[in-house]
Amino acid sequence: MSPSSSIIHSFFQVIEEKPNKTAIIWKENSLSYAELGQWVKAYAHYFIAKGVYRGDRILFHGQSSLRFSAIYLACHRIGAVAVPVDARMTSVERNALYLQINPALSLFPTTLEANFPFEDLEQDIDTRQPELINPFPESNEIADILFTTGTTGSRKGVQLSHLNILAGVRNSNEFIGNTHDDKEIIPLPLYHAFGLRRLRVNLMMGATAVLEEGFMFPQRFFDHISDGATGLCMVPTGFQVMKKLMKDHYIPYFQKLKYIEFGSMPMSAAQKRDLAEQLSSTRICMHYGLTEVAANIFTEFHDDAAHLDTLGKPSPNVEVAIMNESMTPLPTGEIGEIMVKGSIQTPGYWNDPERSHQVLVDGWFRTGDLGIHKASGHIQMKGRNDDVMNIGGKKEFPQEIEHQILQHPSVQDCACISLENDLTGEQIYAYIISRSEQLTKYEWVHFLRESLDSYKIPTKFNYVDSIPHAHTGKKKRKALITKKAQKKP
Amino acid sequence: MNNIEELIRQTLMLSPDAQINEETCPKDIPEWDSLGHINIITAIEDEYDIEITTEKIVKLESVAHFKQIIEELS
Repeated sequence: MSPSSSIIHSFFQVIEEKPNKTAIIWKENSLSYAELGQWVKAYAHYFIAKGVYRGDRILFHGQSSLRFSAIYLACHRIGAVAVPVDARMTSVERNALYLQINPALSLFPTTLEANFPFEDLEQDIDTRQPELINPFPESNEIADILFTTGTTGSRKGVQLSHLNILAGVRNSNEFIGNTHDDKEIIPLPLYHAFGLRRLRVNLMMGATAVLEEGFMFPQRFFDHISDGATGLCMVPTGFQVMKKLMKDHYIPYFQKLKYIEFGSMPMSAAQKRDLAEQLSSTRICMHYGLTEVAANIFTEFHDDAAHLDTLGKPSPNVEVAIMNESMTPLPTGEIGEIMVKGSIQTPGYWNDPERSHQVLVDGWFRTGDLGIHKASGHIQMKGRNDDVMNIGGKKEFPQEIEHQILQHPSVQDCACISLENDLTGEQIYAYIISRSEQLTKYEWVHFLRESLDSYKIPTKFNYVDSIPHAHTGKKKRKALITKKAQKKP
Repeated sequence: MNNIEELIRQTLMLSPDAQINEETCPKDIPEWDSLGHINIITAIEDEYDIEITTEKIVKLESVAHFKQIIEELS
């Protein structure tokens, strides 16, 4: 395939070269590249008719579907900015996000503006549309805004240009070795950077993407593999769920896969080693990355068998450095912050120059993760610079959860921490000082469900007499973690 | 425990008035995610004193499927 300036441009090239190739499979339905292209053009015409201009934002829910793919690509085709969001978020979060992003068009009914539910939308869609005359977007224009968690509860809108997402796809392809013959199962949410990148990879390469929702129905995965699927992307939690449900039954199926890509949360060296032994001929890759800088460090469990306790090596098109607080590169073996630079790097957060300046320094992106450079060139992770928690691949700051717990009149103070958990990687513990009655776990879950997504609700609620604070007033969450970890058998 | 619907409500910590019927499947209930699914299977095994094999687990996609398996194994 000839080099192209954007994912959307490449997608239309694939339509020319392989119109009848299957682009997407979702449940019993599928679309060829030509059919998906017709839908993309139809949605693009619809957006234009609704007054969407180049650079405007279109908000829509990121539930896996054929429709998602068409809407996402149509946004790019007319130069609009795609803002896919979690369909399961609470109405409180959804409305806050709506006000934050101020979309020209919302395909996500909110209580503020319940316009354009999909069913009504598709009655107005006519797939027999003429070719679009609009020019393709320039590489520096914003393609997507993806939301990640922020410390104060307001989400950060990570802007990604067409160049950023193209670079992310190229880095990924270079390591994993995708071709147009591949057929990849994507069970990850498409509002999340990892799932969306895998969708882009497949559509840019002229491969076939098989969309699934989550990991709880393993038989569907086995059926897809029996039908010729060659690749799979997973978060370690999804794999643990599958192992719990299937024990070793997944092995003969997964052995048929050409590749698996893991990401979004850490995996122990022992787990990597076990998997490498079970799937001796499957390329098992894992990336380190953030929404802001895509996947930028890669490892393959067989090739890197002697370095499974590391993240791997930086992608050739990316610079990764370990620096101290004054942004000075540190020698091998010294712990510092992991910094990333390259064409994958976000230009900044939507409408938030202050936060952008905090993380984009001297051309580098500050990840907030701590690590060391090893003499072999591998990067090893050594924890976080802040209190961020990683729950099944979704990152969350404790401050947002604490803020919601403090809204209950019985609470005097609280602190949230996360500890290791076999299934979800980490689970959230809440420590609460009560000024009156103590709520049951059931009562807490119902109280918090109004304002927090399910995965952010603590699994343990402990009432305590005190919470450690530093002399600056800051909560000493790491002290709570150490204390709790020491109590574990 | 009265029935499987009540067991699912309690396992997922849903409101007592949360609507669950035979056709209900995970996509209808936000709390019924992958981990919720594992918790439901474990709760059913404990409640009905049965062991659901992996061959049967792969077929569990709705409340009706759970009922069918319980009837088969009880």
